[in-house]
Amino acid sequence: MRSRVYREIDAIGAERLAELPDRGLDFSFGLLRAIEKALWGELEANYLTVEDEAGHLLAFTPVYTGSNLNLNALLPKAIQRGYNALVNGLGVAVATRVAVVGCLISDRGWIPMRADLQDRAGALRLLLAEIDRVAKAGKAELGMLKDIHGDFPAAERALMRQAGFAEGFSLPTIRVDTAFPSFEDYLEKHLSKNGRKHARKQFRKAEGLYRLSAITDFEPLIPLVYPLFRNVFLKAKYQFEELPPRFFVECARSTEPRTELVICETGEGKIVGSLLIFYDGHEQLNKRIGIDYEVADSGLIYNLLNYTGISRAIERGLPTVWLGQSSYLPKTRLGGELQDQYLLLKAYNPALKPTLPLQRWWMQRYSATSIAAGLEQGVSL
Amino acid sequence: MGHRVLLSGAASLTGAEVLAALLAAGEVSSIRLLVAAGAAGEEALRRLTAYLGELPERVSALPSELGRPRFGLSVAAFAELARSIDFGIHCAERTRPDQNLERARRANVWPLEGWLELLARSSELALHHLSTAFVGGTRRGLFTEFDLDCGQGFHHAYERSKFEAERTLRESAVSERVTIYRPSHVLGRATDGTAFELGGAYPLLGTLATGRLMVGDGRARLDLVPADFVGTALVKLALAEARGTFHLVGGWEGSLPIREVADLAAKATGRRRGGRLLPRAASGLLALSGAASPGDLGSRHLARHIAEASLCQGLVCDAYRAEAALAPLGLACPAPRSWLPSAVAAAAERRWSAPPAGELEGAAATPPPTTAASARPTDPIFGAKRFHRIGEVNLAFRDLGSGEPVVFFHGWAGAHSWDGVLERVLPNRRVIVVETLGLGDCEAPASADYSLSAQAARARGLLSALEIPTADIVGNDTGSAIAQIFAARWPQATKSLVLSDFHAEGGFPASQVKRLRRLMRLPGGTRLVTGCLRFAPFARSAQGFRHMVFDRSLLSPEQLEGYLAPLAASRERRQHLKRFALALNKAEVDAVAHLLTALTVPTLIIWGADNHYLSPSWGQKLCDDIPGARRLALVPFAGISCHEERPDRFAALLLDFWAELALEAGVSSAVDSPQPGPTITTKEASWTS
Repeated sequence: MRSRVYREIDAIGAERLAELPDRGLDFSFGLLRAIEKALWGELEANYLTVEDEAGHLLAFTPVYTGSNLNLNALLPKAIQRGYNALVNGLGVAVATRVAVVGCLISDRGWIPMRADLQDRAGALRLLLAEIDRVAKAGKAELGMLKDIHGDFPAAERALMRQAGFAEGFSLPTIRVDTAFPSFEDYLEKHLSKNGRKHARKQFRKAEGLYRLSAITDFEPLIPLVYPLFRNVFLKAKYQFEELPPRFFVECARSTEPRTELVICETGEGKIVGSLLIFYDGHEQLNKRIGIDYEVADSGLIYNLLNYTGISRAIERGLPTVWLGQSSYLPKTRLGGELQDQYLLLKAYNPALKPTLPLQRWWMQRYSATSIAAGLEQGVSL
Repeated sequence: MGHRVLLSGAASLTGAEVLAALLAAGEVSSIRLLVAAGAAGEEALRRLTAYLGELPERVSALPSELGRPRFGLSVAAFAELARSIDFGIHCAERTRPDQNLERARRANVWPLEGWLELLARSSELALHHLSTAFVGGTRRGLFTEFDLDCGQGFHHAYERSKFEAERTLRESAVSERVTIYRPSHVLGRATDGTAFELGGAYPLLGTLATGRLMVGDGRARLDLVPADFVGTALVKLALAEARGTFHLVGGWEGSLPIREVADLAAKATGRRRGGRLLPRAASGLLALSGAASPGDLGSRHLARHIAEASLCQGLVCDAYRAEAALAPLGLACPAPRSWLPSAVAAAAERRWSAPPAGELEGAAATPPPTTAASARPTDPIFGAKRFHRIGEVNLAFRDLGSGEPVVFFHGWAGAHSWDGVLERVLPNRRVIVVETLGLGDCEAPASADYSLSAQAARARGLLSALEIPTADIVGNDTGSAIAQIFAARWPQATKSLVLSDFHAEGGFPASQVKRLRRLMRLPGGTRLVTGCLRFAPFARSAQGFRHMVFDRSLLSPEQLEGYLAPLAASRERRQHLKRFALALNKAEVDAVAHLLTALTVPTLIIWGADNHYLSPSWGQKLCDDIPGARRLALVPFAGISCHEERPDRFAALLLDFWAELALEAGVSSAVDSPQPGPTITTKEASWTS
């Protein structure tokens, strides 16, 4: 068992990555390649692997180093403003370089490992040691294991903590159960009475106004839909990474996993909403949503896109859809279930070490339980 | 037949390269250059010839004034121009990175009015507009070709005015025929470093080359592009009929760390290493001494501001669309390390010397004035002021142009505040600007009647003397009160009525005027008031002229002087002001308000959407009160003096209204007005109730 570092995902290849069945869509070849091709600014990608003597992958994780990420996105606004003022005043030299471990835009973080791997702990230790090396080589001051999902073995999370990572809650992800024979069944059996009523009302309202369609070869549409994705990003409360148009181009070209774009058009043929979907034989990931906020019905369009995304998964017989880490109120109305995720932080710069307990304390508010309690009172993140 | 092109701003750093690329393109059959009329235009052509060689016969010059309606051309000549070109390239711009927003807007925003009108006249026409990647302003992070308004701020007037220009184009009804090009910092040619002029990014480069201590971030990156790449890319995309927005930039990969640029620039000028860079937080220290001044490209003060704005990490420009469009055309932005030293060397050879006077401002930078402060009384378009004695008052007025008469009444902003509107109305109308006694040049003894009713009556007398039986009446602020009285008393002399930003019930006189009146009643009070107004910070405050306009940056020293001069230039004027302020009487406007409820004269209400004193709901009330009122039109981003702040929009609303009335009267030929800019009609429609 040995660790290796690759600079390009192409050097690993889709076939070898497929040897890790628990990787999920967030660690799929096509998505990681799209991110790599779309990196901008200082950000650099490294792919860390643990391999056996024959070169088979046993464990894998990407690591991105750079400072052009909003690493304080989950912290209080005052800290974010203070940090920005500091960088503005003193320059890029004081910007915190960070090593993000995991898929940069994951909705469900993980450390993919081979199913039949006996020494998981050993592989993880090798990987953690390599993460430290890559982070230090990239002059990172902070290491961040991004959004490790609650289903990831607790014993292995304990190993991460032993390696010096402080664990706090990250934004929960949302999973929707779509194991239903038809969309109508999903509406009837999975949604609450209010949710069902709301869904039907939305469809009635959209009749004759909007047309929804799914497009597989959507590269030519990117100049039309990118501004919609950008609208949503610029309006988002938590802005971690910025994706240029090239990301969507590469997504359109991906075959492993498959991608499609759900678009919402007005009667005149103007595209006012779009939803980027990744899917394979096991699950579906609704990755990015785009909305034209100049249309009065932006809320309706949002719901229509999500319902259509879910119905596409049901049509394909996929039992699970992941909806991402935002807009919890409407997504729970769609039948989504909040699932805990954890952020593990390690300070390579001693000056940052004392801040970690405070960050852990602050991030307690992102536990699924806290957010669900807030939703009951009508407070959504 | 090849393409027929209209090019503005050819005599500029990028414009000259655009012209060179057009000349090199075989498929261009004719190129018409919009140049300033007179000696300035001839000089521009001479310099272009010196830079590009003898211009071929297919290049012709069209003397014009970009900032004026229809580029200052006659209606017929403008219509002919629209028919004789296939596309336009607008390169004229003011690139100086200072805080003079008024000049920047005149040069960078106003000319678009003419271009949009040109496009409205011919559905085949397309416009290629040279903008800048720095419309992204203070944003830090990714800036794509799909972005414009990201909630950013701006370092200087250049960035802001270019942003406003792009917004105007995007909101226009012809936006699908407009292509926008956003270069980053432009320098000379990649081939040999030569440049038509040392505009664009040369002041920045000069600061880097000659500065020893400056504000900046050595690790931040600077995106520099050669002018010939910008010119060639623009022309190739224009000929390929590309649409949308294109970033002509190096991007992250094609840009250099500022430390490296400073070293390269310093070495090219014979120094061992580049200047030292201090963090932006230390800029206060440098403010004491200023930064290095590069030759005569700018003052030390300006150089410091340039460094503060540009030598820190800001935008990272994404060029996805431009790269995708240029790759098949075999064009890519050259790496800066290969050409930057030659550009620095060439500029150093010219001793960082500014071009001849006026060149930096360019031909487009001298469009007509719009505000009282910048009005040029000697300009024939504003005509000489005339006087007519009515009773004991020597009434000042201007009588300009020919056609259907229209009478303008002004308020506290002064008679010259109408100049921007007059400019647009004059080509088709006879305009009479009647000055308000107490707020202008009218002469009268102390015993004269300063009341608004008397002012309206004198205006009626003036029209009789001028043998004008009926006229369109327009009034703003207190002038609107006079217009209301005029229309209510002499409806038969009022053909139509346009009222702006005054309602009798909206607290008359305004609380600020009431305070002034209390002070003026004291001995020496008037002198104290006008003395305070001469103190710029007070004049800019809420107690002064702050709320005349929405955009406080318009309150330049010249503008404030423009407001103050008619009120306080002499002892007599101060006395007039005092008598006028004390004569303001709520009872008389209340009486008129009652008469207005029976007024059936066609009326348009125009209101500054950001009027601090009277919110647009008062405009709506006025609209509801007057039976003849057609609608309320809001002028966005404008205060009580909306006609002065947004003369283009105000004039377009007037012309639209009059054209509508003419059409109704079945005499459409009576109003041979230029079409109001499509941007205006589109935008206003959503604001008009």
